[in-house]
Formats: sequence, C-alpha cells, structure tokens
Amino acid sequence: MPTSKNEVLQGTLDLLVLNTLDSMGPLHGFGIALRIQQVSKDLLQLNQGTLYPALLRLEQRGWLTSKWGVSENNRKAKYYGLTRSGRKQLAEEAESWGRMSVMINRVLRTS
Amino acid sequence: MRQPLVMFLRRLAALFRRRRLEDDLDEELRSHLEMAAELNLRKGMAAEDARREALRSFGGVEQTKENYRDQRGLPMVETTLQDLRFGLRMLRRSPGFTVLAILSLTFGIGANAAVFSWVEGILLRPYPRVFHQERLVALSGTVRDDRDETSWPDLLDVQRSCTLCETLFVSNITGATLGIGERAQIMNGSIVSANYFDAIGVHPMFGRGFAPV
Repeated sequence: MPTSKNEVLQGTLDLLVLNTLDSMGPLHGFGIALRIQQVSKDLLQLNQGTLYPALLRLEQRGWLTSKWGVSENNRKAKYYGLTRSGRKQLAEEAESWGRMSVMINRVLRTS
Repeated sequence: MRQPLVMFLRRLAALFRRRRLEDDLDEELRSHLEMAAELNLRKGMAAEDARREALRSFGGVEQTKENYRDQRGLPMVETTLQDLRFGLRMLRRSPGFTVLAILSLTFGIGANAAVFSWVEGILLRPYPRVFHQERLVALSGTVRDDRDETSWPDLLDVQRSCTLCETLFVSNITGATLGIGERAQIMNGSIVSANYFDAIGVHPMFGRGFAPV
C-alpha cells in the first residue's frame, strides 16, 4: 500500500478529463471522477468538486459539450462528451506531456 | 487567436442566464453526491456514513460552487454591478443625503471646469489658433530702463543680422475709433507689418489678409 497519495499536478486535470472522455465516451461528472480514480488505482487524490470548474472551462474552450441525460440508475445527470477540437487538444497535450516526461527522466538519470 | 474571444462571449452570455445556470449547477452537484452516496451504500456502508463519505470525497460544496461561478461568468463585472446596485439602493434609502451629494458634486465639478477653462485660456494655450507658439519671441526696444518703440532702421538691422529668426514681423497694439453711421466705438487694434498673418499662421475667415508685396 502506498503511504501517501499524489495530488493532481497543476494542469494535468484537463489532460486526465479529456483522456477519460476519449476512451469512455460521454460521462457525467461523477463517472469521470470514478474512472480517474480507478485508472490511477486510487493513487491520485482528487477532490471531486474540483472537476466541475474544470469541466466548465473545457466546455467554454469548445473542447467539451454537455447535455442533460439519465444515468444507469435513472438519475438525472449532466453528460459531457468530447468535441472534435477537444480530441485534437488531447492529442497535443498528450504529446507535450510525453515530451516533458522523457526530458525530466533524462535529467534525473544524468544528474 | 479566436478562442479567447469565444470564451469571453460565452462567459458574458452566462451573466444573463444566471438563475437558470445556478439551478443547473445545484442539480448537477446534487446528482453527483447522490450517485456517490448510492455507490457507498452498495459497498455496504450505513446510510449516514455513505452520505458523509460522499461529501468528504467531494471536498467543499460551497467552495466548489464559488470556483464554478468565477469560471462561469465575469467575476469583475459581476461584483461591480453588485456594488452599483448596492450603492443605488443606499441612495434611494436616504434622499436627503443623495440630494446633498449630487449638489456638492455638481458645484465641485462645475467650479473645477470653469477654473480650468480659464487657466487653459490664459496660461496654457493663450492663442489657440497661432501655430508654433513655442517659437514666438517678442523683441522690443529700450531707452535706459524704459521700454520704447522700435525704430524702422532697428527692424531692418535685426532682419539683416538675425540668423535665428525665420520671419520677423512688427506689431504695435493701438486703438482706433470705429464709426458706423451715428454710432462710434473705441476698438482695440494693431498696426502690423504685411507678413503678420502669414507669420502667425492665422488667416481671416472672410475676405483676405494683406496681399503679398
């Protein structure tokens, strides 16, 4: 068992959300939160509430759309889905994240 | 970059649908908490614990709403409008104070404007239509300590030897009596050299100045 959970790194929440919606299709906020926690094997400490301003921001940027729907257990919920420009953004952010992590690893190994 | 503009317009539009969006937000967060509690129940928690655990993993609900609102609208505009509305309400509540405030502002601004236009006319821009005022220089003759009229030969000397001067013109303020029919009136006037109007860059609105020699 890990002794401490990692805070979500500043700026990576967008990437996590976009990636989740890309692989899962439209989801409500709670679903996104669950999925991120499951995928990270609960290593990530996410205050689920912080998702909502982030979702709104992504929607304002035109990367997500939202509409009301009904959940699996018949509850009204707002579903978020990726737009085409959202998919493009995800590709860009994933690539820059990859570059960044390669670079940091390299620095850590050489010093 | 088109995106910031689109974002700004969306946030601006949100200001006009605030009540609707606020209901949406309440509904969305409530449904989140209910789903979370339900999941906890299914994991075998007691009802009360399930609800509390859902709230705990959510983090502050009010805090979230605050952040959400800041992202949704334009916080600066909103608080300014709020302040304005509050101010108007206070003014309406005490009409005596309002009248007094408006009057003192009126007089204050009026007096300031009057003084400024006076200062501007006399000190800052005394001859608004004369160009290159900063290059105007007045020369006058003296006899011992008194000012005296300049003589025609003096003028010719200056004209010949002053390499700094662009043009040289003569002006002698004087008066004349103007008579029209049976009425007569004293007018201020100047006797000037023929290049006067060209030199100061001011031309009569009607008719003409002096014809070139």
